[in-house]
Amino acid sequence: MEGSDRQLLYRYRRGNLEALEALVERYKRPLFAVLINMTQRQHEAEEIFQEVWLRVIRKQANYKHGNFCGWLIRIARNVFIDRTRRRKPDASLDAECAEGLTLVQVIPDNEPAPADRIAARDLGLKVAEAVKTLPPDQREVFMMRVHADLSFREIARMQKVSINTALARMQYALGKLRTILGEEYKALNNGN
Amino acid sequence: MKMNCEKSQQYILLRQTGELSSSDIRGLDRHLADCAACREYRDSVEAMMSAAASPRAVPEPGAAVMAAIRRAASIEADHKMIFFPVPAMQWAAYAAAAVFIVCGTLIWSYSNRLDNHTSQVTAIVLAVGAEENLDIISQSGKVEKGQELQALASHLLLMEGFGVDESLDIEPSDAGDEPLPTALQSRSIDAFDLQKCV
Repeated sequence: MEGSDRQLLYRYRRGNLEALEALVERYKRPLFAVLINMTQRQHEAEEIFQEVWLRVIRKQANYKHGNFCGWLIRIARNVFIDRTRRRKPDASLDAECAEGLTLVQVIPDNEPAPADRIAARDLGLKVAEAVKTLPPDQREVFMMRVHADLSFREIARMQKVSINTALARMQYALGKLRTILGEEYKALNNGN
Repeated sequence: MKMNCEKSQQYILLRQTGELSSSDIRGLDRHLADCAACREYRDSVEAMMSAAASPRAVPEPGAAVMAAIRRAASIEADHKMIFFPVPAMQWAAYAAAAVFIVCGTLIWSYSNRLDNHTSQVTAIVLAVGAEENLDIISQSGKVEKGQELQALASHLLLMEGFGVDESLDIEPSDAGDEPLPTALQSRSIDAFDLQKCV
């Protein structure tokens, strides 16, 4: 269905269900990409994804103007923060949990497993895997910039930092990706 | 002033989002024309961002999630249609509610003022009755004697916050300290029928 985000939301408000479906379809990928990087878990990302759209459905009148994707991500961040706050800190990372191992040793790190490395032949997947290893703040800036196409001003507002900090986080993220990707980075530059 | 590479790399990012002024864009272009390292940086950033955004790099939410959203959207839309089948009805309902609240407030405030006014009129009637030594028959059929009317009038005026001396030319009485007579408890002019003044 054609139309701007605002028009689609307006049509849904007037009872056109397809208009909302078109909006969900339009922002499915960028929102989910940001969520999956925020949570690092498919299941949790799906729960938040659903919660975000339920809030959009219920509070659609709150959207006035501006970047719709930015609005979605703001809601997503709020949902994620609420969930994180509700979660009780019930385990210490240094506490032994099983077979004399600490939680830090048990939780899988962000490095792709060897099997994944083989599977990740696609350059996009390699970049995506490398992005997972970034610190959360830098990863968030990268994802919001790449997938949601948010401006640095919007990202800064969302992270409650200055535009220079948001910009610096993006630069650090790019620098680290360059280091992690190594040879692939050179391939990127050669257009492969 | 010549731009350094650090600034140039910031500007490369800001240019992508349209957050760079036209004069800075010109400065950046001049720098890029001379600096191979920054050109390489620009190309690699663009290539990396486009690779990261490729559909294969991003998973999708499961079909069950999408179905749940569709269901919720449908329920919400149906809910709206039950209460407001025509969109204009929603605004009409808001407008009606607003009119109801405004009118209700005005009527309540006017009736309060009317009630005060009615009490004052009643007090005047009672005072005149007292001056003329008249008996006034209340709605309950009880005959109020002329002497008692003055006390009633004083009571009522004191209840409404008037000084007896300044409102009516009658002797002040200490009736205000006594319990309010039953005849005045309704505080309405209807309690005294002027037609039945004797």
